[in-house]
Order: sequence, then C-alpha cells, then structure tokens
Amino acid sequence: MFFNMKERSINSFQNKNIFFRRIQKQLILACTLCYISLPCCVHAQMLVKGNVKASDEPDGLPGATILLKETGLGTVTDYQGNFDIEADQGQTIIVSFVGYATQEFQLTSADFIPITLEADISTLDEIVVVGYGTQRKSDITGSVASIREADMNPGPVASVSNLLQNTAPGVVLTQASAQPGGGFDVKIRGASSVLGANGPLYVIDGFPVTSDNVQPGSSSRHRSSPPRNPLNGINPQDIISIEILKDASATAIYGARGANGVVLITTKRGNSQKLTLDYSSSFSLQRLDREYDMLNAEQFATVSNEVFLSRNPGEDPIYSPAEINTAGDGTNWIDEITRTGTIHQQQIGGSGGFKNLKYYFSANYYQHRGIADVSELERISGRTNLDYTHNRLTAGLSVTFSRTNDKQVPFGADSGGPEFGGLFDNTRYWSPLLSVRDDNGGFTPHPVRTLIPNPVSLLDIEDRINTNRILGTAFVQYEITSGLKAKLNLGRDQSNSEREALIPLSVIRGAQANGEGEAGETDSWSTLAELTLTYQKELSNNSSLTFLAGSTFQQFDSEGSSSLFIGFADQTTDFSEITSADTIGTVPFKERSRLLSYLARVNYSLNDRYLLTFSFRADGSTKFGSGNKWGYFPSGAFAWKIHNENFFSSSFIDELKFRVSYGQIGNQEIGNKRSQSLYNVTRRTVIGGSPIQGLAALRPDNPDLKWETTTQFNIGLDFALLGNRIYGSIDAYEKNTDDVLLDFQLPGTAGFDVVTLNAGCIRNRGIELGLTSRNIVSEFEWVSSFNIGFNENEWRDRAGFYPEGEQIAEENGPLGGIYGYQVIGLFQSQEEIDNSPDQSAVAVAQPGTFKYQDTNEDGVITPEDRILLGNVDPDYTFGLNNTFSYKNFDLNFFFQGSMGREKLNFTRAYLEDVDDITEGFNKSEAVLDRWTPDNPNGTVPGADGILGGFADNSEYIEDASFVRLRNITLGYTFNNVKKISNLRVYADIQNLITITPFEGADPETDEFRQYPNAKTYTLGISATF
Amino acid sequence: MKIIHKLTNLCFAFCLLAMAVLSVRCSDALEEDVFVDVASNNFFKNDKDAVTAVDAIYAKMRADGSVTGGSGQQEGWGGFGYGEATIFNYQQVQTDEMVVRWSGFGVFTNFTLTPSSYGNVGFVFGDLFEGIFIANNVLTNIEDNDNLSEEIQDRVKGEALFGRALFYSTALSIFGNIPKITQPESDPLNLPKQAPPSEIAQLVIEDLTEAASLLPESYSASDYGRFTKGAAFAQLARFQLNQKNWSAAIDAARTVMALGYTLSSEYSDIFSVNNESNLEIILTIPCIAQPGIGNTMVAHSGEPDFYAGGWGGHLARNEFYDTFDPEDQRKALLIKEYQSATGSMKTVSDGAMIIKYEVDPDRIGPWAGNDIVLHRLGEIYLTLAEALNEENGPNQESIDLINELRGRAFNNNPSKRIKLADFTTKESLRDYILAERSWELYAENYRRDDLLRHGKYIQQAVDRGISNAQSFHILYPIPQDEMDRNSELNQNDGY
Repeated sequence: MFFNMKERSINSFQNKNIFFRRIQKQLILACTLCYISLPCCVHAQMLVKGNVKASDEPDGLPGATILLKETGLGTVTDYQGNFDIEADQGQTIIVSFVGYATQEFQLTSADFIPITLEADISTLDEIVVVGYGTQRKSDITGSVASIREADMNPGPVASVSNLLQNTAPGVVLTQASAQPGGGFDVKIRGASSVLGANGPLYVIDGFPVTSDNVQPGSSSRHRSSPPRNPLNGINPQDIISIEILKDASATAIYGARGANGVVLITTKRGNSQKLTLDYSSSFSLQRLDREYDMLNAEQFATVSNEVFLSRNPGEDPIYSPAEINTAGDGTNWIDEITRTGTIHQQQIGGSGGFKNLKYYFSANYYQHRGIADVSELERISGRTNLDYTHNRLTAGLSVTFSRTNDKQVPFGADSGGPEFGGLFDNTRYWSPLLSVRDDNGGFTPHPVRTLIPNPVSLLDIEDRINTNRILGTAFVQYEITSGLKAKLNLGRDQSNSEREALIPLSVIRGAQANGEGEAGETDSWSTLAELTLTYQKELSNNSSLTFLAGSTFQQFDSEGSSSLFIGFADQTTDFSEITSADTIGTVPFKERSRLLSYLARVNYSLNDRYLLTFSFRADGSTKFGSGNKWGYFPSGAFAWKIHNENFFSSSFIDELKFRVSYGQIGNQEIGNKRSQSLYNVTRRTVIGGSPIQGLAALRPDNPDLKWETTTQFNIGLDFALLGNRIYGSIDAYEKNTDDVLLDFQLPGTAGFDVVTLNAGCIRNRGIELGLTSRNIVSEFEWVSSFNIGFNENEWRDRAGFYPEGEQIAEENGPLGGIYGYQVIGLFQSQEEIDNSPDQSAVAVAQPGTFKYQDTNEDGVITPEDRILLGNVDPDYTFGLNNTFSYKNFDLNFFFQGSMGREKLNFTRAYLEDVDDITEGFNKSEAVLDRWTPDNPNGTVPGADGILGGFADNSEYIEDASFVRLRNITLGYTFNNVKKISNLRVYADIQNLITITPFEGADPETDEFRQYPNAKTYTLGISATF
Repeated sequence: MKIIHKLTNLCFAFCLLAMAVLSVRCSDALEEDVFVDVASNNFFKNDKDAVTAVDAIYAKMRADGSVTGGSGQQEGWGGFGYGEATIFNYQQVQTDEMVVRWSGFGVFTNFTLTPSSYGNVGFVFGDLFEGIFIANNVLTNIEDNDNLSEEIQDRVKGEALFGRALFYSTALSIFGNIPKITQPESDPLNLPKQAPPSEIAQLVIEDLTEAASLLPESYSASDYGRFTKGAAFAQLARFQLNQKNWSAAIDAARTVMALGYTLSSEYSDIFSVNNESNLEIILTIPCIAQPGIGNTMVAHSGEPDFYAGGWGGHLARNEFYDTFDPEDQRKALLIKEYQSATGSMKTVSDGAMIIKYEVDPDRIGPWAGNDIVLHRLGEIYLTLAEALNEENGPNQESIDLINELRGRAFNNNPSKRIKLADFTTKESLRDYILAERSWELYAENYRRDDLLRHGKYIQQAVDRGISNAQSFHILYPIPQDEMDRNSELNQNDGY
C-alpha cells in the first residue's frame, strides 16, 4: 500500500477547520448572550473607591477581597490596599482577607471608604467554591480543603497536579514519571477501585474535564512511554484557587463521578476597572538527582573474569590483565544520554475592566528540556476570561487555548528482554569498555547480543506529539426575582493530538524494517450543557435557606486512528519527508459516552449556629448495562458552630465548628462498551496473499454492569485558637466502596479472557489534620502550616477475586499489597541446600543464592510461600511549609513526606545479579561485595542465576518511605521601583534533599524502565504594573 | 424596563426549553453508541459477516493471547507459527531433533514443567479453546440463518468444523484430558468438566469428515489459504494415524492422494519464499514479510550474527544432525557453517541452524514471506506407508512410497533406495519409518506425536540424559491458572 502524506495533511487540516467552527459556534452564542442587552442599559451605577488596611499594620492590605453581596461579583485590593468597585446605591460590600474579620458595609454614597480589618478573626469567612456554587467557608458542612494562590508550590510547574502536592491532608500525589510533563498518580482518601480510575474528578471553572489521556498511545517498544499528564494543557499560573472536595456531603453533588474526590479549579478573573499587568519569568537548570553507581570499566572486566572463571575453571579469562590495566573508568552510558535540563517560562497576564465588563487575559510559554537528551515539553497557552454584569444579568466567558509539543524518548516494552529495552534500561546492557561509536563512526553494536540497540542510537528516534486544546465555558445568569437565579452554563473541551514517530535506520529496529514510522491522531471533545436554579433567602434570627436544583448533560467523544508503516524509500529523520512506505495497518477507534444528570441541594442555616445540607444527584450513564442506567446519590450533613452559642465563652478558642456528614457517591470511570457483547477486529492474518482481519466476539453481555458505590461517613472539627494565631481542621472518615468492578479471569474454555462484574467491597479509613500557625507576628514573621493524612485501605470482600498469580493474597489485605518470598539468608553450601526445603520450583538454589522461608511449612518452597511484604500506598503522608519574612526578604521551606510505603526494587535486583555480566551487561558496584566461597559474608547473592527470574522477595521489596525538601525558596521584594507596584526576585531549589531508606535511585519514580528524577535550580522574577 | 421583562421572559423560556430538550432526549440518550466494533445483535446478517467471523479462526492460528484487540500490529509469537508460545514449542522442542538455547525453556526441554512454571507461554491452553469458541460461535450463528447464501453457509461451516477439529486435535495431543464444548457458552461462569479423550477423538473425526464433505477442493486466488477438502482429509489422516486407527488413516491418506497433489521435484522448493505455488502443499499458514504476519523460523534458529539475523534460539541437535546420510539433500537445510553479518564464515558448535525455510531477501526484521507448511503430500506418503505397515507389513507399497521421497532426497540415486528385503519384520520397518519421518519432516511439528505413537517419547528423553523424564510426561500439565479458574478440572496424572 502507498502511504500518502499529502492526503493526510489535508484531512487533518479539514479536521481543524471543523474544530474551529465548533468553537466559533460557542463563541457566537456566548457573545450574543453577553451583548444582547447592551443597548438598553442606562442605569445608575456608581464607582465606589476605598482602602483596606489591617489594624495591626500601618500599610494598606493588598489582596483583600471586596465582594458585592447582591451580585456575588467583586474585586481585590491593589498593592496599597486600594480598591474600586461599581455598585448601586444601597448594595452591600463584603470585605474579607485571610486571617481577618470580614466586614460588611452598606453603600450609601460614592464617598471614599476607609476600612480597617481586625486581625482577631478566623479564616472561616473566606468564600470558597463548592460544587455548582460558592459558600462562606464558615457555612460549609463538608470536608473541603482550599488552596489559595499563595499556598501553591513555588517554582516552575508543568501542571495543576504539581500544585496539589502535599498541600492538603488526605491528598496523595505520587510522581509516576519524572519526564517533562510526566504524569501523577493522585489519590484522595485512598484507592477504592481496581478496574476504574482512582484519580479525582477535575472541574475547571465549572466544567468537568476528563483526565483520560488525549494523546495517541503506541504499543511499540520504541514508542511506548508512561503517559504524560493529561492536565498539561492547562496553565497552572492562571489558577487563583483550588478546592478539594473530600467527603460525601461535598462530592455527592457530582454523583457517579464523585467517589474519588473532586478538585475544583478556579482561574483568575478581572475584578476592577483599573488595568493591572503581571509579568513573571523563570529559568531553571536541572541535574540528574541520583543514579545507581555502576561498575567502571576496570571493575567490570575484573568481575566478568571472576564470574566466567567460576563457571569455566581453567579456561582463559575474557579480558587479559593488560586490558584490565588500561580499562580505566570507561564509558558511563547514563552520561552519554543525559544532559543538564532546562526549564524556561514566561507569563504575562492582565486584568481590568470597563463599565460593565471585566477581563482577565494571559499568555504563557513553558519549555522543559528534560535531563534525557531529546525529551522535551513545550507549551504555549493563552486565556481570556470575561465577565459582564448588568442589573440582574450576569454573563461570563472563559476560554483557554494551549498548544503542547512533546518530544518523547523510548521507554521500552515490559516484556521481550533486553532487545526490547528503552533508553534508560538499555544503558545497563552495555559494558563500560565499549565506546559509543565504532571506528567507522557508526554506533558500536552489542558484542554478544547483536540485536540490543545502542542506547545512544535510541536518541535518533523522533517521537513527537503535538496537542491543541481549547477549553471554553460560557454562562448566563439571570436573577428572576429577588434571591432566585437561573444559570445556563455551556462548555466545550476540545483537543486534537497528533503523534509522529520515526525510527531511523541508525536504530537496529529501524534498520530491520528499512525505516519504521507511526502516525497517530486522537480527537477528543466533550460538550456540557447545564441549567441550574438557585434560590437564596435570608430568614429572621440569622437564619438562611439556599436551594439549588439543576440538570446537566455532558457528552464525551473521541476518535482517531494510528497507522504503522515501514520500508521508506529514503533515509530521513523528518516525518514530512517520507514519500512512500508500506502501511502495515491502520487502527481506527471511535467512542462516545453520555452522562445525563439531575441534581438538587438544600442548605439551611439556623441562627448561624446549626447548619444542615442535603444533596441529591441522579446520574444516567451510557457506560452501564441496560438494566442499570440510573444511579442515585444522596448525602446529608450537619454542622454546629459551637462558638456562636451563648453558653460558649472562651478567651482561648475563637472558632469551634463540629461537622458530620454521610452520603453515597459513585465511580463510573471504567471505559466504554463494557456492558455490551461486541465483535472486535482480530489480529491480522493472510488470505489470498493480502493481510486481512476477522471479527471475533470480545466479551459476553453484561446488562447488570453498574457504577461502584462508595458510602462515606465523615466527622470533623474546624477550630481557631489564641486570637486566630492557630487554626485548622481535623477530620476522620470511613469510606466503604461496594459493587467494586472487577475483571474476573475466565477459564480458557469460556472463549473470553475476562468478565467484568460488580462484586467486591473495599474500605478506606483515615484521619486528617490541617494546621496553620502564625508563630511570630512582627516585622519578622514566621508562619507554619502542616498537614498530615493517615489512610488505611483494605479489602472487605474480595468476592473470590485475586490478581493473576496472587492467589496467596490476604483476604483482607490492602489493595496495593506486594507479596513475595521471605529471604532468610544466603545458602553457604550445597549441604545447606540439601538440608533445606526444596526451592527449585521457584528459584535456583546454589551456594550464594537466596534461601527462602518455607512459610507454610510444607517442606517445599512454592508460590504459596509468598507473604505480604509491603504496600505501595503510604500509611501516612504529610506536608510541612514554613515561611519566614523579614522586611523585604521571604524564605520558604516545603517538606513533603510519604511514610510507610514499599516498592519492589526490580532495578536493584537486576543490577545485583551477576548472572549475565558475561553477556556484556553492566552491574552496580554492589556486586563487588557479592557472595563467593571466599567472601561468605557478601551482602549480594553471588552465584550465577541467582534470581531465576524472581525478584519478588523481602530483599528487594524495600521500604520506600521518604521525606523530601520539595522546595526551598528565597525571595526579595523591591517596593520602591517606579511604575512597578510589586517586583520580586527569587531563587528556588526543588528536590534538594531526599531522606529515604530506599536503596534505588528514587523512591517515587524508580522503575526498571524509568526516567530518573532531577534536582531543579530556579531563578525567577515577577512584577506587577 | 419592558425590554428587561421581555428579556427575562425570553431567558426563562429558553431555560425551560433547554430543560425540556434535555429531558426528552433522556430516554435514548443513555443507549450506548457502538463504533468500530460491531454489536452482537447486528452481526451474522449477511455472507460477508459470516466470512469475517470465520476469518477469526485463521487469525487465531497465528495469535498469542487474545485474538481480538484490534491493533493488528502485535509482534506475537503464538499459534501454529514459530515462537515461544507456539505449538512448535509444545510439539517439537523437547524431542531428539531439537536443542533450545534459551534457558527459560529448560522446563520444556528438561521435562521439569509443573502446572505453575509455564511462565508466559501457558496461555496456549486458553488459545486453543478460544479458537474452539470462535468455531462454535460461527457454527451456532450460521445454523438455519436465512441471511446467508447456501454456498457460503456450507463453506463457512466446513471451515469452522475444520478449525474446531484442528484446535481440538492439538489440545488433545498436548493436554489429553480436556472439556468437550460444542456450543458457545452463554454464561461464562458455567464451568465445564473434562471429557474422556475418546469422546474428543470421536468429535474430531466427525468434524473433519463433515468438513471434508463441505469444503471445496480449491479456491480462487483471492481466497488462497483457506481450508480445503484436501486439508480436511490430510488432518484426518494425521489424526487417525496418531489414534492408531490404521485403516481409517489409510482411507484418508488415499483420498488425499487422489486429489491431484504432486510431489515437489526439489525438497527445498517446498519451503521457498514463493512456496504458495508448490503443488505438494496441502495447507499452509500464508505469510507476508510484515510484522506479525511473517514466518519467523529463520529468525528463531539463525545465530545472532547470521547474515539474515536471528536470535539463536532453536537449533537441530548435533546427534540428530549426525543421523542423516551425508548425501541427503534434506540435510543441506541444516546449517553448521554460516556466513556472518560481517561476511566471515563461522561454525555453530552446539547444533545446526534450521534454515529449512529459504532466507527471504525481502524479509522485514525477523518476518519472512515463506508460507508456513502445515500439511503436504510428502507427509501423507509417510502416513500411508506407516499405516499400511501396521495393517499388513512389511509390504512393497510402503517401501515404494518411502522410496519416492528418498529418490527426491538423493537425486534418484538408486543405491539410496530401500528394499522390502531389508525389513524382515513389521517392527523393523516401523522403526525405519520413524527415522525417515524425522529426516523428511524435521521441525514441522510432527516429532512429539510420532514419538508418542511409537512409544518412544519418554525413552528418547532418557536416552539423551534427561533423567527426570517419566511416563506421565506424555501429557503436559493443565496450567495452574486454568486449574484456579475452573474448579471442575482435574490435573493430569503425575503433576
């Protein structure tokens, strides 16, 4: 077949046209709604100006929130504490700032308003975003963590995920890959699903986005890589606040998508008429954090000879003494494929407004050239947020566009041996005695296993993914009568991602196929239409009632294809220069799912002491079986503001609120088409001299398939002490997840591999504490915030389900349990082996190999002797942030800890196994102290074939707890620079110190086919005009 | 203000409308759309559907693991091709013909396999039954299906029956005690029991007999590679021989011989790149030099520095290599002296590369275009010779059949012909036929069945120093995964 480049380009061009037309339609709709009432507005609004300062400081208070009570619109004060806001006479403004008492003013004239905030009041009066609305923090009945811009991780970050890292209790982020823009594993209050997603639902400005990967994947060993973060397309510098909804009271309003928690992301908006410009820029250098100490050339040759001679006594050694003497250090293969990485970012943002229109805009450039040569993430993004207010009508538009260019390095395939390795694990198959290139300038071939590609040759692979994403939402809100508002919210999230991968002839695989390439394209789009009605009524005696009802509809589409082709006419490194090739196969895909939902919520506040919240959501989903289309998710919560009781009087306690909530939430994230019996294309075969594919039944019908249901109970306390110097909250919860979706392996005779059933039950229990303390309040200020979350996760009912090969797993063991053999030493002699239980069924037994414990005491070592040796999920995680400020200096330390977690360190196991060193594979320095008859106290197994393919034993299932100095930042603010209201320069170091008992390269990212972690050194500047 | 009121009403009306639209759509909005895949209630609606469904059997013959999954680009080493997870690994590598260099396969070659030590090749059990499921599913869905033409209905039925028999006869040989399933099970949790081997054998014979009556003798070029009447009789002859039903084997073999196949004049032509035109061949897995659909025999046997590349995994044993008459042309396809990638000549010491399939100059990586031979006339000659000897041996017809093949192998050198007078007993000719089969059919997946039929499978292992080989090793263990998933299964004796 002929591969036509031109035709493909035209197709994608047309797709983009359609893409822009789709966006255009939404813009037109939003603009129409915005401007439709412009001509008719001649109304008496006034511009109110004022200044906010704190009672304990002489200067104005920057960043205080000014909110119009009637419309919910507002502004923040500038650097000197000044603000202006448009309002009608008689309206009330609410002035608030973290750590100060909120004040209300009724506007009677346009006079300048001086406001002094008292510092003795709690943080509980911040306005926080909740599902489908906002609430005063003091009125919240559920468990909600708020992260403000000031609390977010400093330094350059690629995605929203980095901002979440250990900043709130109970939110556990583990970096899945250290590559530029690498993904994160995010769990809120533990994992509750085996088959489905365990990550939270992300809602950006009211739009629930899918965290599915939108990039075309690849199954090939030279193109596979851990997925990059799907949130990379959202610029984190546009974010002003993040709310993390944790308990059922907060999340049940998101129904079948709420079980893993919900992350609400709010972007910056314009809030005054004055134009403010912000500019920030940073530049970072990255150095490889830590790697294994490998044998140098001299050591490698020596150990190779020793191993060879122990197997072939009396023969000539592989390397002569002369060769060993002149070997020196030799080639460090990691050095050959790594470099000093750089991160470079530029952001310009502005906000301001006209009479009725407020705007925010930003443009951002982010470029991360990783420490592996070639690997890179580049993003250009822009955002425009508009708000229009006129009388009872409010309308808004939020649009962000991003273009992400990824360059990936190969990570290799999970199976298939060294020939199938990726960039980093390949370095371990190469002797330090070899040079990168041979005398002819070509890549040196592997001397023993000729099909193992030279690691440096893998850098010639071009694997690019270019992604465009537009996320736009538009809303119109109208106040029908006093307190009754109707809001229509429309949105669209659209991305187009193209992958072009090319394996040139310099790579063995490319040479075998005379050039190999893959082109993939994925279009994903999700469309949201929702309508909500809110009724809010202030009742007598400080009581109030808020009622919310609505319906929402969201459709998720994705389609695309990937084509593999081989045999290029020319050797080329540029995809666009491929003129002809044989197409091996084109795999199309197309999927669609829909979610139709109805929701309602009542908030009742009695005497500002007793708070009640009830919420309910009904979700109908296409993903589930015909008999179970609808799921219903109720929740209820009660809170008691004890400090407002007459009987309560304490000079010590300023705030005390007790909360309790109970409710049900679901998880429907299991992929499409799992309930239906389908025929799917088979792999290829040949009939009539041409490749063909058949169709075969994919899975049995399962009309009963449904969402997983989590029932969560939460009890909590919010408090503020000692004149609000110390404040925080403590929560305890229990989450029971029923109907856990499990893939049961079927007997081979069934004709299908698996059947998906709702069967198991998983429990998560935990305690969370978040605490902020203003330790020293003076010219020298010291603020600490600390959070810690304990979570215990276990099976309550496995329903007979055990992961493949783990039939020994404990009935009530943890979801992330790691099972393996208990090592009780090294065999010292054949006699000891003969007198020990026979372990030949699972591993080689020789003097110098591991001796396993016969845990079930049946006299023979079998897979049944494996026991629970660890858990990938931590027992507890914490974050500790300390900020010191003195005059214009500020210093920040951020420690992150993840304790009581284990990891199977396969890399170390492999590097300590000298078995294949004679094939030219290099080993770590640890093998210098391996067991030999002459070194019976050696720490590392020494005989050949020590692992026999098994590393799952107590020696290599390691404690991977760690405490990391994630950030240390030193800043200086200039406040006398002309025309610049705020100029700050700072230096930041990421990952400076990691304390861990883990023996591998990195307790988070170390995998056999890893991308090593880095230390990042940053200089940055930010200015506000 | 009036305008505002109007706007209010407009907005409100719009909201109500939106709500109404959302609600009305609700009933069908939750029906799941199916793209790319085909919903089962929308399949088997025409001839094309039936043909596509039965094509899955051909795909299964070269698949490893799940046959579906769609990418069509996997680099699988399964099915009836060559590789770690193929029938080759079960039927060939642990015999006196072969040596396997890969240490992971020691459990096969050393007879130390246990139910849980299959490693990543244990899915062959599931593979065979997935093939059986596909065949059963086709048979059920085309039965009395008015949407199909009679011609396609017959042909597809024949293909499905042949496929079922091929998978069953293979599973019977490997695992012995297996369930008998002739319908696609609608409830996947329904666990089947094992059936007596005789019942499975009866099913195979019935299926092949019926398939032979339904399948055409040949196809147009665009359908080349499908199962034919000749293939059905050839498979039947092989199966009856293994079952020691001598007269039935004779009948089936004679039927094949009457179908117009002719011996290739050159032995090596049978395995050439363009072997699809060879008239000796009865059934192949057609190959194209592309990833996943090529022939990888050369790659599996070639030394890593062989000019055609390779992994140096499967070699002919030196002891087997030495049994050949030096003048035997069939021996020439076993290579000890080879040209390396750098052009120098090298020697293999621990065996001989099996370059039975001609090196394809247009190969892509390990993938070559030589069709994989499953049945050919030369094999039928030896089957007939052996069955005739068992029925009434020694006899001249057996001798003549063998001499046809020896004539080809030795340039018609009359001194290399065998004579009836050389064989005084049935046993002596039987032993000779077994040897001749290894020279003629080496590495074509016959050896294990041949040794089992002759009662020498365990002895050959003991003779080459595999002291662990015991009588129960004539069957493989049921993989532990399967035992775990189906509590109704009993493990084979000895494991």
